[in-house]
Amino acid sequence: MAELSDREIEILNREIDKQGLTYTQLQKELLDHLCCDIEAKMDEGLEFLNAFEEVQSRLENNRIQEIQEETLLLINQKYRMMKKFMYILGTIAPSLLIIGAIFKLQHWPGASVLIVLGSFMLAAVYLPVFAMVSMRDTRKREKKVNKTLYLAGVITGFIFITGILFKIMHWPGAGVALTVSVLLTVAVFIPILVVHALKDKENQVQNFSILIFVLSFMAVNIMVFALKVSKNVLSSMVVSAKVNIKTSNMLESSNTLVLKAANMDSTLSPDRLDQASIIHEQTEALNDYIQELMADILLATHEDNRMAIKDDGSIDLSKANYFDVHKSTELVIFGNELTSGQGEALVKSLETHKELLMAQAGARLDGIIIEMLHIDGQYPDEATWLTETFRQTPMIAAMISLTNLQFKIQFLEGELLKELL
Amino acid sequence: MISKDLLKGTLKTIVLKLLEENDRMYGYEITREVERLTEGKVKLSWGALYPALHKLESDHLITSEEESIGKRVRKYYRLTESGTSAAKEKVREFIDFVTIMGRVLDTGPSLNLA
Repeated sequence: MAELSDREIEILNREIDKQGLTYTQLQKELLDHLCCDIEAKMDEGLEFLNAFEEVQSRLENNRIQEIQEETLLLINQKYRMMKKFMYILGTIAPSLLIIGAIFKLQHWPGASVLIVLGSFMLAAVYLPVFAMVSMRDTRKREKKVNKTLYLAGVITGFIFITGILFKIMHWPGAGVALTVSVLLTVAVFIPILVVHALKDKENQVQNFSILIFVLSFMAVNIMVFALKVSKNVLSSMVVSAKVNIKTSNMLESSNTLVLKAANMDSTLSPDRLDQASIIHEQTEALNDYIQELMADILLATHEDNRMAIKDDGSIDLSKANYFDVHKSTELVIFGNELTSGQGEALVKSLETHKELLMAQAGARLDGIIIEMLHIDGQYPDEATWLTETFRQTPMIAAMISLTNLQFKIQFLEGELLKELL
Repeated sequence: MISKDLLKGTLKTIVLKLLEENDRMYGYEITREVERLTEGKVKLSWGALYPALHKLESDHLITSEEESIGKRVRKYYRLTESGTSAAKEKVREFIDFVTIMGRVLDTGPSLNLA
């Protein structure tokens, strides 16, 4: 069997080289094929040059170029489809999100559907497809693909977008998802990215900007965490707590006056007067107890809030601060490993007070008392009134709930006094 | 000679079937084997063969290994696991096709595949 010499192979190689193929894999193969063909013809008795002439027609008219084009077209079919899909999704997903955001701002129906759909497309479809296309692009440039980087990026991105979505939709678990995504970014994604950027000398500018982008993005993410409640919402909550305090103070003094006047009135039965003063004392005691609880929460929030507690124990919220802190309320109401919470005691006093009022009240007031001192959870299976009111709530929300309680007991005392006297 | 149009749809089937029987083969070897089996009636042009081979490889039905022979490189192909089952599937599909076409065209093909 004939075998081509190195020089002859070199001649053929140059002929194929002239065609200007870019897909080297194919070029090597075609060279071998051509060599085999010529060797076969030489076995039949032809000289190298004659054999070459016979097969030369195959190299004419850009035929080899056409083979390359067809090969690339075939092997890139899926890739081209994925890329198209990526472009379409890349247009639809953000559009849905923007339209959804506008709907949400205008309080039009359908905002949630748009936002959920857009986020899902972005996180579960666009992100993986982008990673696949990008990995393919890298491979095509004959470079190694950093699979770990892509995997870490896709997982972190997915959890982050899901967290944002849950936060916007007020679904449970948003905090966990966002925390996990920040942890993954810091502990996994950024280290991998840095190592990759150091190794990859060619795309330094690109890698550097990605790194900067990720870092600043994370800073924004953490800031969002710290803000929690907007300033406007906070100040309007402070106003509402102050109004509660003012009205219950007014009710308190009017109740005191009513009782004083009744004591002067000799036509009233001493029995009823006794009952009235018992109710008044109990209400005062409960009122003070709630006030002390508020002072405890204010102090647990920050030492500076001592300014907000006046000498007589009453509270001036205009001197308080740190309204959006969560932990203090939980500490005072539910306690921790070291101290026990005061929540249970509050519930017990409220229940005792309710019983006392109910014992004195006529049928007219019964309903109002039950409704106003309603201390069952809204969803009794899941949460008690305590957890519903004080878990995960900023300090000012607890202030509103407590001042509201004060207002209610003062109001009920007033109604009862009217009935008794 | 069999026309190119007829061959086009069955090229992959032929390649898979040959690789199933021959462990590993290179491009030129495949064209020679097809020529031998069909007594010269089917001649695969390289313009048809190589795009098909590369497509099969990108679909992970076959894998390749390169061997240097002097100044040139020879690329051998072999079936992957999914390629083996695809070969069986494609051959069965093709036999069905021929049987049905035989009935449609009512020429009573002198085929004895079963």
